Amino acid sequence: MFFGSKRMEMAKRGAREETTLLPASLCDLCPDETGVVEETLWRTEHAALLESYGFYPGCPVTRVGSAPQGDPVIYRLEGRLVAVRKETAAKITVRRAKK
Amino acid sequence: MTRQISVIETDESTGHSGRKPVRSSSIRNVALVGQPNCGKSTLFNRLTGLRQKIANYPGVTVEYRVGQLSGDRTVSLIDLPGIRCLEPHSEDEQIAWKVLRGEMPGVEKPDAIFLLLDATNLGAQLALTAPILALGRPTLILVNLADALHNGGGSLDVEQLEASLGAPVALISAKKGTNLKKIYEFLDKRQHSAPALPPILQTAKHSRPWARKVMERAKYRVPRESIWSQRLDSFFLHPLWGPLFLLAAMELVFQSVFGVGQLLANDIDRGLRFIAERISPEIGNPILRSLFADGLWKGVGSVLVFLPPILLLFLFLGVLEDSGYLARAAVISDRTMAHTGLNGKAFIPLLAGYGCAVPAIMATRVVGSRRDRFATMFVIPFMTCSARLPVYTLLIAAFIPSKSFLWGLIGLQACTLLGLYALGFLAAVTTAKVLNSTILEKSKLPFLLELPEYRLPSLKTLTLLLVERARIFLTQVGTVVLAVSLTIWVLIHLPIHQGHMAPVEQSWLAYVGHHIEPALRPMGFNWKIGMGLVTSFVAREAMVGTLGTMYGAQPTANSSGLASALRQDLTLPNTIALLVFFALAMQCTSTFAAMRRETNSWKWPVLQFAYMSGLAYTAAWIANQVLSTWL
Repeated sequence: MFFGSKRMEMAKRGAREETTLLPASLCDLCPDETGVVEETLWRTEHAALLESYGFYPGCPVTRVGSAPQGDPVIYRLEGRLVAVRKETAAKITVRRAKK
Repeated sequence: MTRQISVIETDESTGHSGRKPVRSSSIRNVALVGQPNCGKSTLFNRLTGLRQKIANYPGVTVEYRVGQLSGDRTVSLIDLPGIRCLEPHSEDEQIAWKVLRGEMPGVEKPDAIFLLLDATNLGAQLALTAPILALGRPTLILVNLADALHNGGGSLDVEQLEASLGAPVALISAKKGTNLKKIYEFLDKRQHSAPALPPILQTAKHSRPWARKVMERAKYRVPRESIWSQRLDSFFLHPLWGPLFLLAAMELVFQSVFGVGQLLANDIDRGLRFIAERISPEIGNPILRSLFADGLWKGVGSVLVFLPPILLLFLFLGVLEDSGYLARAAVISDRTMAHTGLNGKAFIPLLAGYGCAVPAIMATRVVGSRRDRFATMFVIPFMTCSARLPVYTLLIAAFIPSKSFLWGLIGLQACTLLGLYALGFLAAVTTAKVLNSTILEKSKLPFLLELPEYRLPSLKTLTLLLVERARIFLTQVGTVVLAVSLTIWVLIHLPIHQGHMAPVEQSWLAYVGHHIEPALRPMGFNWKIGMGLVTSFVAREAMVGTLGTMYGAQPTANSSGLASALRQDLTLPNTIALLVFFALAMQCTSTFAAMRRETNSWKWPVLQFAYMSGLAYTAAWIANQVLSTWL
């Protein structure tokens, strides 16, 4: 899903949004929502590879869309678009802005 | 002229340069380094006048290339694969770091470095600056895509950036050739300082905040994001329109390759026949006349006519690569690839396999994990390369009726061609699945793929690509196909009895062919097709040349084309079996050699050859037996 269908997805997640405890995983971000990568990232085994794509603590990351089947998910960080599989995104912790 | 430079030593304990001249040397080697897809090869081509392949996706360059600087043959420029960080994660990154550290056998340690940064994305790019400056080599930092920066409303204070980094900086456009004089000024300088070491180097955790401060001091303003890229992504990655567009684009490719390509091929065929009919009568000696008309002209000419469809195929691949769509296609296909145990990154080399398996096997260096790489290399020869196209086109045109459906939009012949491509792809993904669930160890490397901005394909890049592919094809026709055709002509006319050449059925070639015929009978092939298959193991296109020479030597086939001559020897089930064999067999010595080189072992290419040949034989046998009872 990409850009256009964000309202539907946000409506589905609406109830959960209200009560989400921070931090969350990267794949929990809604379309166009921005989070900030957390420190826990450094404990993952491929931290250096993830860092080189911009997934380092403190880096703002915005979910901008996904592949037609919903996976991989596409994020914008440091001015570039990076596609990440959900299984990888689930291991990256982010701080979400409180609603 | 030899340029004298003084390298000034850096005091690493304090992280600041002491700037004491320690030695004088000449700049002979300059390494061109940067993150993937930042324009290194474009700059390399501009500075050297060479034609290194460029395209719009990360990981195009997987091997280092050396070229002499135009106008100054004393300086070598080394174009390196893109690197993202200190720790290499793929083989192409390992190659780049080995060259930079002087550990690559046969390549001198670079005297200086051109570090290329993308001006539209400086934050991420600066992360690489620290480890490169830490190498202590004279470094010129080239901030590329100055035109995109200015057009998007971005800005950069070059002098401030230079002061912050402690190394000379130039804002350039490699594509337009803007401000390249800074490069020559750098090389002409008599003294060079080793760059000042950035304070903290090792991790992104520390280098990114440092990079942010550097950008603030340099008053860097990011250019606006392209609204067109977002709009195009909304369409190309749409749940419905995205996959539909991918399928429609593929159908268009095959329809064009078969329709337009075949029309042009027929024109070339008519032209070649016209020339042969004018030249042949001028040759008085009958043996020489037969050698020219049957051996050379029909052998080579029957392959040469397929140049237009092959170039059309490469034109479509070039547009996909240069527009930025290829990376999106990799994302769309990732879920499908995941079922086979591969990831979307493997899709790019697999797609390159539609052109030629050899560069595609090299392109697997970007795949990342060793397990994914070996699985991808193993299945790439199943992808329908351009060398199969002459055989497919010849047989389809000869045996499949030229019917069309849906108001002429979909043709039966194009669908057959698409089916053969699908068969190869199906064999590739099934084999990958089997490999990944049996002999290859599990991979844990995450799938990450950077999506480049869309751009209009460059006419110059596409032209260079087509010229290069035409050169490769014509070289293959002028060497391998010519040699095979002449050898076949000699073998089909020997022995000579009382000054007369032997009839085809009593020739040495027929003698050899009849011995292998029993093994081919289950697939429905006679000895002539069998000999064609034997020569196709040298190069696939050689089969068409062999058939052209053999059928050209038959008096009954002389007046008719190769296609109609084949109809006398093959039925429709036999033809489909032959197409299936070609779709699945590994008939390419260059691919075998590339596998040997990339895996550094004989085990993998031998296993691959045996597996593909066995599969091709079995599938062709089943196709022939089943279809013979139905049709």
